[in-house]
Amino acid sequence: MTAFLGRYSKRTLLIGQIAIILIAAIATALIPILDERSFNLQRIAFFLLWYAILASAWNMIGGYAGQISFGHAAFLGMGAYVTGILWSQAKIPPLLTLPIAGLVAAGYAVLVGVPTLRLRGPYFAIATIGVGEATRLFFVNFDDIFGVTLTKGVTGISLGGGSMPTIDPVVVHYATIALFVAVMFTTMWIRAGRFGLGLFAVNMDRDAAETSGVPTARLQVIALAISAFFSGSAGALYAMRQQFLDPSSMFGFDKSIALVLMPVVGGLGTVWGPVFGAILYFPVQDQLTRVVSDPYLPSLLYGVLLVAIVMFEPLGIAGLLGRGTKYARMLLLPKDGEP
Amino acid sequence: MRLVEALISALLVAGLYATMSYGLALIYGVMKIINLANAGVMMLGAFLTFFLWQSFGLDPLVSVFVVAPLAFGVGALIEAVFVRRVLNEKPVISLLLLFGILLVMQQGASFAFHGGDVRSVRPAYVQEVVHLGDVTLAWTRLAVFASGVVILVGLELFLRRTFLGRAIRALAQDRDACRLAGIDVRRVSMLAFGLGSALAGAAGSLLTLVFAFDPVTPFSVLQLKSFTIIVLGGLESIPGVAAAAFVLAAAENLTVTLTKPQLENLVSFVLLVVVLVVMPGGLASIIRRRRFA
Amino acid sequence: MRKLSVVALVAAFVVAACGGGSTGGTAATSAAVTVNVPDTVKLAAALPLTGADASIAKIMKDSYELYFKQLNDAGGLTVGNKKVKFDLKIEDNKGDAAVSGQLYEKFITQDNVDLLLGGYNTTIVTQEVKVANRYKIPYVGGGGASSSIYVDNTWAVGVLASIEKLAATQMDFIKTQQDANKLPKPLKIAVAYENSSHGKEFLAGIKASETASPDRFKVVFSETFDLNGKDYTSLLNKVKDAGADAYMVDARVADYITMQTQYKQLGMYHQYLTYGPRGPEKAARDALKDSSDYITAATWFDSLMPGDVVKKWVDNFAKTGDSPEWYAASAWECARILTGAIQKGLTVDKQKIHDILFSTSWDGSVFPSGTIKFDKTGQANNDYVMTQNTPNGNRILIWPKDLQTAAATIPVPKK
Repeated sequence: MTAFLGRYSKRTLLIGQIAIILIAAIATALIPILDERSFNLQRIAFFLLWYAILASAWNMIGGYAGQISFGHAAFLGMGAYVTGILWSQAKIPPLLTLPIAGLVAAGYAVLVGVPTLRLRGPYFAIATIGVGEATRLFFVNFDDIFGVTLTKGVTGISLGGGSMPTIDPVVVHYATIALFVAVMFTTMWIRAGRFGLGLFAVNMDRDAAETSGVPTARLQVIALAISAFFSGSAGALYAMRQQFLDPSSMFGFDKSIALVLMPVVGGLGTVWGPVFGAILYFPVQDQLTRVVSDPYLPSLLYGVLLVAIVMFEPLGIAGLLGRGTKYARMLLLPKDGEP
Repeated sequence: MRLVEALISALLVAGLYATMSYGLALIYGVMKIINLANAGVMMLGAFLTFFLWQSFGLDPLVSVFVVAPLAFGVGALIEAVFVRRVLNEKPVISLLLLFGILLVMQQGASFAFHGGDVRSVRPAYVQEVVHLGDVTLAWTRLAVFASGVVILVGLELFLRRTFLGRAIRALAQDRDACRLAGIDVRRVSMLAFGLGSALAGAAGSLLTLVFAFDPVTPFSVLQLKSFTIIVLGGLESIPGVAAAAFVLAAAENLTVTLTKPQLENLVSFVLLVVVLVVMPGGLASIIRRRRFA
Repeated sequence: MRKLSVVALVAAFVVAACGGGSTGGTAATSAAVTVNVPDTVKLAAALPLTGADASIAKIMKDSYELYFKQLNDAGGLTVGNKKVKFDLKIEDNKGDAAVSGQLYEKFITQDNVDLLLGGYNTTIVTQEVKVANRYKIPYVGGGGASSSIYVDNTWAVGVLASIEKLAATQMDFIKTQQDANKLPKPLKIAVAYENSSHGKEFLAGIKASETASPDRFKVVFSETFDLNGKDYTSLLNKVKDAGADAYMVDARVADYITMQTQYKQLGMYHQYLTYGPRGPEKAARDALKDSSDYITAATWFDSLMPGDVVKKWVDNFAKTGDSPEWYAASAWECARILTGAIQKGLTVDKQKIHDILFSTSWDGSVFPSGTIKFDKTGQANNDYVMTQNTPNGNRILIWPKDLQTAAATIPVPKK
């Protein structure tokens, strides 16, 4: 009986998740249609989806592959700047630059990943801090190093004005929804498929995986590349919407920290964890300043949460929720109920 | 001549770099974890020094003796309450834990001290200089360097001549053998963590004489430089750390002198990544075994 | 009949809108005109209240708040036949441009503010101006001087003149010193500038003067440095090697303090020393003490300037307990001009306020020349006033001639 139920319930769970994603997508897509002037709602929708995309993308390498990256803003910023430069210098319509931004970020991830992913846990993490900061400094000094005027250094790039092609914010809104759906489907596919299985194996015990014939290095690099592709694409969307980029905001360590906090607090290595993390992160960041005027309180709370989670519930919010029913466990936890 | 000056300048800064890295190296050696909260302790040490100076006019060189013991206590506490519980898990867990603690320290300091205002300690002798032939040196930097040397010598003597010091070194070499030898592994670990934090706190005190600071800068940058130094220098040897600190400081200074000043920090990070990845042979095989095994 | 009153209405509006700007005046129209202003006007600004520029931001915040508190306490702003109060919200952007952009967006979309006041620091202001342009809402700022802020801008105005003009003003002053044989001709100049558009424009201004008068100026060294640097000794050693007569730097306050400390520690000397607009700030003077003596600066305002308008403002500002720095004055001017526009247009309609801001000459200003007029990009172009620090924490005004309080001590005395 339970076996029979088991098979059906797994499929139901899958369909259920897809349904949730699509419903969320459609609901968000309707916002600008129903009320053109619902700017605040559109703003909140954009950032919620955007953070969810970034958290999920990070989770692919940090959660599934178990390689904590403290420098992920490098990929986010890379994508943003690719769009920024192509848009402002080559006058290419920004939406067309979206895939290019993603691919360049992915390429950069491969470049950085091949040498560094060989390193074990803490060393890889430290290397990523170095990469993140080095990328930031590289972009700050780019113009002076190469004697061009491309990144405009600390001053930043202003987009969307003058002779640059314009973009409708509603288009960015839809593009963000589409990217969110893509990321969620990808992360579900990774969890369910052979690729993900390989990643989990490497995560659990690299040596055992190697001896079993799993191409550990290749899998990890691919995971990082996919993660960077989505992060870079999200960066491109940011550039299209905010129309201003500067290195310390885009590549800053603060951003990288946020990218770690969200998936870890939400649920490392789970499908929905990063989304929970984003849902917790953005509104708190945005609205808490109304209640308490100190801007550091949200980050302080996150630090405390992080410690608490690491000590008591490594699977974060998803883990907490997953202590409930059997279905909740199956839905939320990494591998069919097993952590 | 300019080159000589650059190297001397590097030597002075290296003293500070080394002091802040000893703690990191010690803790890694004994517990095989990277103490991300090192920078946090340094920062708290710097703030305490600042307040002592502001309220009592206490010279930072004297504050070291107040700050270091307190930092020791904080470190031991962190080990006993938090780190100990996750020692057996994957290294990633302790990394995240210490990162969380660092975050709490940084944001807590920003929150408590009303925002990341930049502070600097300016004792009466901040403008004093010393002349060595053609070269002019700031008194404050010399004082920091001298303190660094004293700390280095003190640390080495402690590790080689005292029982606790030898126990720490033994623990770094082989944890299980220590248990067999009857060493209280847990207590020694805690003391080692405390010692590492004390060193970080002392570095924070000294740092106030050289740099202006707020809860975040320059500690995150300095922390990264510490990582470069301990990996380059070899995690087993304290003098190795000192040597690596000088190499890094020299590389930075030479970059600035010979090319553009703005590339100074870029050099550190590139070096970090290169060192981590390439890691030439000739360094203790123990590092290689730990990292690539 | 109806048509006539409509025409009268329009005519009255046109008359009101075209009149020369006088902020204290009464409305020029009769009660037949409807006043399109809510009882409480909502304003907002984001400032770097934490981080490297925190002390500057605090003074700007105090200035904004004093202005509106006094206005509200007096019953409100007289707009036509009603009194209007102001609700000002100031939030901390932690010195991050992206955060500030998001904050301004929140002000506009969630808080539904009517108009925006500006923040501080060129990069951040550029982002804020971008948001103002995206949502087409007027922004009056006093915290950014780089011309790059105003590229593709239609909705923001700023009271600070450009950095190139700052450099040019200093070069003009140097010319007078050369003519009086106090400085050599040609003057060898070493320039260090922060790695930003602010710094680059500073260098560009100096170089422009060099090109125009090559017999007077020679830039023998120019290099850029990173912001929030901690150690300038290597850079300073290079400057030492350049053997220049003058050292001109463009830096933020925190970097200025660090660099000048290290400058003195290295035992350096130049006949003419300036850090752009930095130097006379009380906070810096207190920190550096006599190490900052004889440094010249060119700023947008100085409390020592003569005249009743300045004196009245300084006395009033003393209520905050803060030092009357130029950024306090520029924040005040922004508040004054914004409320003046509302008063003039009898509206908070964004397009109308925009038109009034750009078309009016704003008299009664504390800035040099007493009038602020924004050019078509939105930037003002007032003259600078130059100061020189003198011993014991004092300073004098040295340029232009009509604002001068004492003769400058040039060259800088050797110890």
